Amino acid sequence: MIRKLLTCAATAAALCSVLSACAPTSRFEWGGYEQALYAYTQNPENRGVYKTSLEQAIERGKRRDAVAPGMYAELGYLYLEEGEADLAVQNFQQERALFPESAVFMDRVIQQLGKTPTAAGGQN
Amino acid sequence: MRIISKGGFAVIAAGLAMASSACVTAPASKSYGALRAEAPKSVLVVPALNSTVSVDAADFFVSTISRPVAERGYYVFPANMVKRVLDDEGLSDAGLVHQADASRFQPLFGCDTVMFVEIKKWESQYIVISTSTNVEFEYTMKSCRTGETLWSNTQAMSYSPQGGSSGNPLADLLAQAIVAALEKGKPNYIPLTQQANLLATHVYGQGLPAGPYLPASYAKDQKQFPD
Repeated sequence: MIRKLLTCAATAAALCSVLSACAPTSRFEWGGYEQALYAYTQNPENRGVYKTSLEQAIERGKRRDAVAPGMYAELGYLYLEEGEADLAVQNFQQERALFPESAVFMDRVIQQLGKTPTAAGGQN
Repeated sequence: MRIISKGGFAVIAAGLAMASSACVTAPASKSYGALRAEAPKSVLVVPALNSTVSVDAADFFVSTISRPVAERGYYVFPANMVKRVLDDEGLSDAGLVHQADASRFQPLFGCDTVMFVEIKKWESQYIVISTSTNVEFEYTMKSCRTGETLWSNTQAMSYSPQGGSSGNPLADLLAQAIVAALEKGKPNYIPLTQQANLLATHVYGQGLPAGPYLPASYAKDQKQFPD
């Protein structure tokens, strides 16, 4: 019985390694962004879950230079809603530094907050 | 569990297909001349136009569209923030947003393109022993510079959960009825919508050619996405 279970486990492990070997990695790190954003749009009480998912997606993305488009901006927007203007601007600057395509949008938002956009952005 | 697209692709392992890119070939290719000439780097996905009776379809849709488009190599603007900013600009109604000329979004966002998505179907049909969940989306990408349509696609998907066979027909029927009742109570649109968006954007000759964030294929995939 035990041997049979072990064989089962071994087979499962082998299958797993085959599956992960043939699954290419994605270009960007998304973490739980999709599920968490859905949960948040359904119920504002899930705001914390959404925020954590963004922070995790950014942390994981930084490890392989694969922070996904929009993650810093979405996190910055949550800070903005919380009245944390400085943290919001920091994140908008990060988005802008990582993705120059966002410059017009990010600069406009930063200027509306009465801050001066810097092209350099933060550390990343 | 079974997921079938209208095109006839049987996609069994959602996770596997999610991870692979542009692995399915389709017969008649779209023409990509206008899109290539514009060479957009960024996509502004505006809130989806919901033409169905399901109230939360658009909310759900917004959470699943950024990833597949970005994974094709484009900068995708932050979907939730964009929605809030449009609200502030007096564009909270998706119908109004979809009527607006694409060039109107350029000064606000500095976008190269706008992606309009219409949710045409979002329903669950319950027929005693099986429930079929169906979605259909229409995607239109327009230039923020000229307002011209650069790409469009339609994707329909359906899903019907199926229990395994026990060898006892009566027991199988009962099991299927239970699964169908569960599915009716809380149809799972998540994998279905992810699959639809993935196929719509990743299939050769139908989806989006590689954008600048996929340097290995960017501007080198004319064969898969011909003019």
